[in-house]
Amino acid sequence: MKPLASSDPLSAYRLAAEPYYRPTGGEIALYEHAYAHRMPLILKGPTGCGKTRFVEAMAWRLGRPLVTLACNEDMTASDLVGRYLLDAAGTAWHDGPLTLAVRHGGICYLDEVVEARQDTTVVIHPLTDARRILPLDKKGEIVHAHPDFQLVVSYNPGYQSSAKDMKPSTRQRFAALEFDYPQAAVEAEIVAHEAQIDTALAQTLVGIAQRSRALKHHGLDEGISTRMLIYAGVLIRDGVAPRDSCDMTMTRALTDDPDMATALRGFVDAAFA
Amino acid sequence: MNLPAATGAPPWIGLLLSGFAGRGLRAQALASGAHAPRPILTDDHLLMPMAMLDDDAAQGARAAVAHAAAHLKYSTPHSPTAGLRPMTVAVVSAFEDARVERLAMAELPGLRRWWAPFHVDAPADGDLSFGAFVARLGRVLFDPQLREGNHWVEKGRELFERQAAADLLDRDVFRRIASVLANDLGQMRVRFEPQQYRVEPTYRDDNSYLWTHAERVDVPPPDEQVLDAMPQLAAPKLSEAHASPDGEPQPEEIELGRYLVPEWDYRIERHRRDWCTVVETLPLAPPSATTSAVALPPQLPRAASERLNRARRLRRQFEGDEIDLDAAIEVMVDRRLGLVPDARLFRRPGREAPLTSLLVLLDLSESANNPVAGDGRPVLALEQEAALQLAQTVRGPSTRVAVHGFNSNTRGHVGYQRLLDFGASFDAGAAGRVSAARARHSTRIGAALRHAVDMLAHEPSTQHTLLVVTDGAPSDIDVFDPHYLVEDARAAVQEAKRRGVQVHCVTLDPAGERDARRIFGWRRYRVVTNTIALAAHLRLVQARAMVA
Repeated sequence: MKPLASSDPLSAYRLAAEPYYRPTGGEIALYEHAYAHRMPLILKGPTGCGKTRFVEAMAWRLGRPLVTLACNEDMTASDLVGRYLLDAAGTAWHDGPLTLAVRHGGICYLDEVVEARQDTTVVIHPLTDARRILPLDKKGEIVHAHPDFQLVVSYNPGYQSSAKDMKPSTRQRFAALEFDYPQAAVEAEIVAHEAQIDTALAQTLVGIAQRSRALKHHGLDEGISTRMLIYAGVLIRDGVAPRDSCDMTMTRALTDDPDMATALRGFVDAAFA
Repeated sequence: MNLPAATGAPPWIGLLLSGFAGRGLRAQALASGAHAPRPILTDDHLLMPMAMLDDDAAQGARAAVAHAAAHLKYSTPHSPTAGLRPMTVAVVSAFEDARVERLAMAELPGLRRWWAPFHVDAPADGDLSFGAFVARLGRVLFDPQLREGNHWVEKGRELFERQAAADLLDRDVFRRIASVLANDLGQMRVRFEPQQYRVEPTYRDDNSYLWTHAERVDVPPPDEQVLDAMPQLAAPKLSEAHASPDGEPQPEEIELGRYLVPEWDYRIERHRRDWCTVVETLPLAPPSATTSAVALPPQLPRAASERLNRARRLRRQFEGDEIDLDAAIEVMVDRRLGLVPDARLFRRPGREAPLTSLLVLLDLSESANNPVAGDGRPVLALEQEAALQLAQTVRGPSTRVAVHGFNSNTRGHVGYQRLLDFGASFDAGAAGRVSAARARHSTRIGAALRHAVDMLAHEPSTQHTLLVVTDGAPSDIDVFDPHYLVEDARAAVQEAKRRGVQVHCVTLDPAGERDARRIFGWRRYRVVTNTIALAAHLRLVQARAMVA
């Protein structure tokens, strides 16, 4: 197959502006070392703690386009590598997002990779060892990965059932970085920046989140995430009363259990004068 | 592990306390006969007076939780009282209450609103008892805007505020100030009578958390304390008193085997191995059971329950993963002939219902003979109807159904009747066995659950679901702690989940809702008191049973 006419087939996947990312440890340096060797990476961590933002920040830093795919159970290998479609002249092959990234040197990010079925994820095996190739069996082509290509996947070890996990053979091909919600002060800084609210309010919101996180495993699958705090902050900045904002973005969003909701509302109510 | 039982206290109280404290703590009801009891805080429990929990608005409980959390965060527990007079201990405690509340309100300003309604009543002017002095001091320390005419109170306020402005965290300084104040009271000839004295206001705990008395022997663990105090709260629902747990199989059934199953003891947080004996029996169909004798309830509409199955390929679809080659060739041929081609030229995987095994476990204890509140018929009749209806509806090529029943007569004899087995034909005999099941003895639900899960685990299906149909609280005549069997059943449900068995419950007695929720979890149980609601819920369970 001829290369596409466009000078940069991945231009749509380039980030337009630098994403805000507040490092919480040595993760940027570690990622850069991994990227230097094009080592495939797993990003682990609870939902809304900044995994996706981190990959975006790294893609920007490294000047690479970022091809993001949200995985789901119905996703097939063709959704990743591409498929034949009919056109006026007959059948024509259309590269899938993974193939695009492999061919043209992007960072391919499979978000929530365990949501995809295990037989789908095995297509990444030849890409993630020393071969770095992507066989397109339907097309009869072997795509050698562009030197800049890297594969990054994320997953949340917290709430998935043991039935949904990565195959050991898939898992062992990756190095892993583990994320968690940042320290209170750092998290407040992030919330204040992202929601554009003052630090005192951000600290109050972080306090609520920390109390909710203490209830993880006691009835909550996940505590209040940094992302939820930013939502709450944004609504408060817009003039919504703090309790209403927290009720909408945290309590109601997080649980249906009336007892748990009462406890969460208690944390919110206690935090605001 | 999940939060242990908040026995007698609504679950949200334990959650609120755990969240504030940042670790798992339990809230329990304290049924003591004492006049005006106060909450008691220990290292991992908050015991609350029943009166506080009965209050609908729960303002008192909320305030007590916040106060206890403030102690947990800012107080040093178990200081020795050696060398301190009881009056000094009480004044130091009152100061500590004010100090930790001040700290907590600095962090969580909303707490002032939680506590303020309890600080309204001032002691009568002429009251010169120790309790009145401390209560006045407590009021002005809580609300610095208040003024008291009393010299001693004003002195306390001034000393407190001066140190508070400097450093609220230095508890030793506060302790020294309080000792000075206590000394003043002694010189004022104010008498301290420990039996009369109560911490004010009501939401504050009795401050026993702060102190260790040298002569004190270890307090019994809170569970026993509470249980000793509250036997009237929820005495186990005893079925008829069977003096001899003989374990003899009834003549109308064949004994299939005896199995030892463990039981969870929540007080020691351990399984007791081989603790219960499950006696499995096959009831013989009563001679009266003929086809005409058993009127089968109407079938329910089947719920849609299909999932993706790649083994099935659907051809000639409007969209799909890959091109259907035959269709594509036809499209090209049609085009050359100038015809309008058929747009259905893709292939995609089909859907199929997964193989499911559903075990319906009926509670055949004595209490099932009671009438259902909203219906009038015995619980047992509704249980049987549910079982038959479900069995008749969901049996099919992709679903295997079994109907088993249980009752218990001490741990030595947990009866387990296999009324309808997996794969057995659902004929008049089976329906007759279900309809003829008798209800007697007690409800040891955990042991029966474990045995049922063992049976389900041997099923070859991909989905395993257990539906327990019961009339409420587990009980047995050899168990006197009302929480013991609830906790055991809860543990059994958790074990089942870990083994991939979904457990649902239909409870036919609204009074059993609390226990059902504790055992099966939010959304895993439904209270049903009439046939219509039962049909609707069964349909829901059936739909849930077939999705992961």
